[in-house]
Amino acid sequence: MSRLTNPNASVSNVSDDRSHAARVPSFALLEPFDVAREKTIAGWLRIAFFSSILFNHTVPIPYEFVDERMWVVWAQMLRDFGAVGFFLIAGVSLKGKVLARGHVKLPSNLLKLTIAAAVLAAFDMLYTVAKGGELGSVHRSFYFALYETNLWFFIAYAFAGPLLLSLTRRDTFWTGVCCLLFIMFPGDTRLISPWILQTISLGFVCMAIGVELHGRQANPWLMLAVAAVAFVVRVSLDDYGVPVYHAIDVVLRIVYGVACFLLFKALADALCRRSMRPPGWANYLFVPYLIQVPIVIVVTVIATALFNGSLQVKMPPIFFSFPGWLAFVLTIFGIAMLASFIVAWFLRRFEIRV
Amino acid sequence: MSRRLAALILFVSPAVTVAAPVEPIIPCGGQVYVFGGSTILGDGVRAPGSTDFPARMGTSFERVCGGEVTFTNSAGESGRLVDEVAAIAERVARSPRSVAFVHFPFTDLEAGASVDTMLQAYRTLMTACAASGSTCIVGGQQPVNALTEEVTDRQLELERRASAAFGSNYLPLYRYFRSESSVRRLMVPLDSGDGRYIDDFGHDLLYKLYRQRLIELTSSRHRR
Repeated sequence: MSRLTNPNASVSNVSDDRSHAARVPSFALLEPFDVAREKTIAGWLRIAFFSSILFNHTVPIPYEFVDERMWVVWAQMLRDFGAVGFFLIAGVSLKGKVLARGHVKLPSNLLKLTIAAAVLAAFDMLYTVAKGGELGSVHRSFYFALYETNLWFFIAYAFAGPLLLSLTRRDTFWTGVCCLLFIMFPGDTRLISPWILQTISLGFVCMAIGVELHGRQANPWLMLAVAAVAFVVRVSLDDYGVPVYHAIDVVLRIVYGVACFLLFKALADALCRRSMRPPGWANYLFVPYLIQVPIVIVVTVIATALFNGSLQVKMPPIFFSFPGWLAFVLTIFGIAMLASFIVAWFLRRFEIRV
Repeated sequence: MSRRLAALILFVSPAVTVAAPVEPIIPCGGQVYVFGGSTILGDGVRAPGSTDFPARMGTSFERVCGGEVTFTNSAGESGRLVDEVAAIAERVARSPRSVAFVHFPFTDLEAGASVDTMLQAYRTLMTACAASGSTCIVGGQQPVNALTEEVTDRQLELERRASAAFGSNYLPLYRYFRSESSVRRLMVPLDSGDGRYIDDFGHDLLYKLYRQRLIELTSSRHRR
């Protein structure tokens, strides 16, 4: 891991949150939050965002069930706070680390990201061989590792994090505006890898917001109302879950993600105050998150065997009814979530640090 | 404890009953044809040749039947059924107990063909299929953004009349592909970007719908 010293510019930004909080009037949108509790409640937030993204990977929109697909579209949009939340919590933790130690560690070590990409690419090749397919080029498997897994979130974090730390508050604001415009109006040109660049930009915007949300909270009822309005507007502007007006959708998505984040923060705080602290393994969920796509593929094979009652299965089961299909995908979701929690628990139990 | 167990059984049992999968009953050992125009050539897909709906169908037959089936794609130059119906009917008639998917989703009506002409073409196909004991599925229409209101009305009329005339051998596709906001638009998630050709998700949907209809047809024959 590379060690990034906190630049002077960032230090100047880091004011004492408590004194700052004292100046915030009570009718403000954001109110002070005990910074010592940020780390405590983070576990619940990680579980929420992890589950949200896992739901996206395991419950696709079934276009063949024409009368029921709208329910899945609404469910998919309702849970669409995971990616924004992932970067928000990264921004909050970044600020917490800067305040605590004056330096932070980011997953900017190129070697670790390369190893992760190689492992994911190797999995893709092994899976292709196991199902009797022809092994394609290594390039194709690396494409899978970079673009079709959650690895690109870590790549975005590794680039957006140092950039965020190197800027003053004013520069952060203007860079954030530029990044927002970039993701609102993406070009069609395939410049190196537009998807990665867009994810880095989204990461920068959300992490910058996350830094500002450190030590702050909002009225949960107000956030519930904001999230509900953003959800309804998105649902009314989309075409079966795909935005018709991309630029508006990006802004609404960020607003919805931030509102959900603050709502979950209030809920997590309420849980912790009732002595329901998040499990320690929640902090290790980033590993199953990284290998989420391989986990889902393996679980799909297992669920297929379970539903067919045989290991000699060549294809996933075919369902004529929506309830049957729903039971199948929710089984995959449930087993994958359980497997992910076990992996995180295992890492925590044996204190394995990646 | 027993109350909890009963509750658990009640909770689990409906899921188990509805979750029973349908056994894929696909006729192996014969010829399988996919007839059509540009969609058959994979227009609109991001990875041509690997994710278009005939390729998916071919892989499906290969997995279920192994080497017992011969799979053939046939895309005519004009892309219009009325120009090719005679050749297709002759080919199906020469292949006993074959399977044929016929997919011409908009080109005929766009070129000005009437609903009656299309129904006559379908009838010619069905007669050839019945004569050779083949299973034929004729695909319905697909929304195209550029089509006029009059052409769209003909598409919808054709879907209604063909469904009534040919039953399960006709697969009405229009409602699966139409936009949430407008009846006459191709829905965004399935649009390759030009409002005309479908993308990977659209090809996946076509594959699932044709496969489902094939299983329904062959299962009902199997039960009889």
